[in-house]
Amino acid sequence: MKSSADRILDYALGRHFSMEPTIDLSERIAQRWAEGEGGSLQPDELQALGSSTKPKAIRGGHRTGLGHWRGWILAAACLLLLWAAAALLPTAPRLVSDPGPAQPRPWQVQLSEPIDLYRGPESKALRSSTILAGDTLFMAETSPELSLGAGLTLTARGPALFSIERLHGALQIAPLAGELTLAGQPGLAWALNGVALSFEAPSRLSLQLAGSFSPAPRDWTPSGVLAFLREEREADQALLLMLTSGQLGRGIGDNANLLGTGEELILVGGEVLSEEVWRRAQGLIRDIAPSGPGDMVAANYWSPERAREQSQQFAEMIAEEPALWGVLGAALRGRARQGVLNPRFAMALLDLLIYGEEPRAREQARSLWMTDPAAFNPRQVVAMASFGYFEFQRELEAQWALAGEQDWEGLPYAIYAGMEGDARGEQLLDHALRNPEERTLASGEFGLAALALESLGESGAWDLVQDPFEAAFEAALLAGELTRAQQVVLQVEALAALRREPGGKAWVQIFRLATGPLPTKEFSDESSASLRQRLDLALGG
Amino acid sequence: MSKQSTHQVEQFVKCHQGSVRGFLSFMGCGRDRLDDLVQDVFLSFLAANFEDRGEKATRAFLRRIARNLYLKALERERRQPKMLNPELLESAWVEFESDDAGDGYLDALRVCLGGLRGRALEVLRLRYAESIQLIPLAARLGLSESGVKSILVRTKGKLRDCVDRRVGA
Repeated sequence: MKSSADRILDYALGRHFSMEPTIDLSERIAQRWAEGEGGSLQPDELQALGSSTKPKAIRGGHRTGLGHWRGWILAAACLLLLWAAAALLPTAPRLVSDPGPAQPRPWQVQLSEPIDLYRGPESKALRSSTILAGDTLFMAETSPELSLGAGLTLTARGPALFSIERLHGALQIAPLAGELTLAGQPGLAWALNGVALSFEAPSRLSLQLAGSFSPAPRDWTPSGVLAFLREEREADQALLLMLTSGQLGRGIGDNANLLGTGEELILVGGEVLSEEVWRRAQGLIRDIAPSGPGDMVAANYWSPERAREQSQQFAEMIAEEPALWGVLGAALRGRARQGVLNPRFAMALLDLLIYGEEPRAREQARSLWMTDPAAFNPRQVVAMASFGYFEFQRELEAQWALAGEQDWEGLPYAIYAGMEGDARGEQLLDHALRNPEERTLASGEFGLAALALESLGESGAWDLVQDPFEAAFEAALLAGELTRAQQVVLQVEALAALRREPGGKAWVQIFRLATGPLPTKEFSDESSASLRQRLDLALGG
Repeated sequence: MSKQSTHQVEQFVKCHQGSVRGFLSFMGCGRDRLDDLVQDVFLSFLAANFEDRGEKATRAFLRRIARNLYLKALERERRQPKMLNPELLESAWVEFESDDAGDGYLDALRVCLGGLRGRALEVLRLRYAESIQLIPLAARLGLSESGVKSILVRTKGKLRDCVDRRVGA
């Protein structure tokens, strides 16, 4: 279903491109009105729609006795027809906006817990209320946990279908006639923060647990949580759910506001792996939130560098237990579905998943594509396409068709196409080479553009990259930024290696070089030997 | 509008027919029935003896009638409306129309379309100006259907962002 913004754009595009002249109906309408015609809505319908005064039972500009009776006869005939249709089709669906009489209210919610439910963000709290068809009730985010052990009673005054949906599959679907009380199981608290109770129609009620639905450990100390994880079946999933709901955050030190960041992933890895990793994860939390709850994870916290660092730490942990790639994928997708996936963290993590050596990691990236394609940048799309994933190749094809000749965003696609022998991007590649902006240079695309052009037959392309790289190296040395200088050298070395042995997918590593931590493996090459020598000198080697 | 002369009715319709027509199109009303519904909306409005409470209230009442008539037409045909919550749609429409009958949005769209080139623009033109469906459109451009769909989605995403920036600026 399209969003209202999409529909507006569709409408506006239709209007913009439409060649059809608009017919002026004013004369025709005035004429029909003058001849005594009225619209097809009945007076009571018009009044129900908000006519401030009593609508004219007799329609038309010139009233006649005939017009008067004709109107009533038509109205009576319509009513008879409607009645007959209703009798013949008792189950015909009614439109929500049909201005018919109000439907009986079939649902009664009785809250036996002192928790506030709202009809809408600005309405008053309900403690016991009758629910209209189509109503959705909200629980305030600040509400305490609703313990279903204490009970939430839903009463139906007629046969209906009651369903509970939870994050991971249906929990319960039961026919309901009469009263149903949701009750927790002994020893388990049910976290329902952020829940939306949705009453869709008289014949169907669904309770959607939007955020979380998880058993929780009784002991919130780290050792208690760990014991719980070791004992519980599907402990990793339970932990994920707890983290998603913020319970674990509260349990380990009032850090509920960690929701929406990437720490939970680190915690998941830490939890299931070892106490050592768990301690590291705790350290991370203390690092972020040294003084208790509050606005602890500001947007600025997730700088690109910090996101890389965090995702790298996570990758190191998960490398010890590759089976957790699946847990990571589930967590990423879950957060993406909820719209709380931090884009910087996601981008950094995707770099690791895609540019690394682990095929299972790439599979997780691929599965995220189905949920949240917006999380991917062009380089990641290109890299995934180069690994042969058809959906990314399709996306690449579409994006490449969209890219303009001077469109920097299209550069990765032009590189890919150029290396595949497609010369359509030649102009863009040439443009990139002759405009070595800092961004392009650092991203690895600059050098790759040279290689792509060279593979298209531009023999002098490689020479064009020498000076900008040299200049960037000098500038980094002068500024004392040795890491940046090292990155330049590594780029040149990697590019030179790729130039010696073209083909394959090794060039994806150039992107990795530009986005991830510096690799320990170095590419020795004569063309960068002098840079390497000077770098070693600068590093004191 | 009480005791309207033919001239007054004509002027009133001239003033509001664009908005009513647009709103019905936006709701999903096809061209085949659009003119009939627009006429019905105005005739119903005139019959309602609506007390003039200003432009805003008049437009809102016209929209209510239009929405109701459109939904009734669908109901007669036993068709489910393919629409979001009608209230949400209407509020999106009101925001679009703003005080300038949507001209601000359309102007921004025109500028943003000016930034498009090549295949993206061609796909949009064929889809919206010539109303070509995806499969024949893909065949015409030598692309796959999913390729065309991707182009449309991405282009419209870019346009939406561009228009939002311009309208919000």
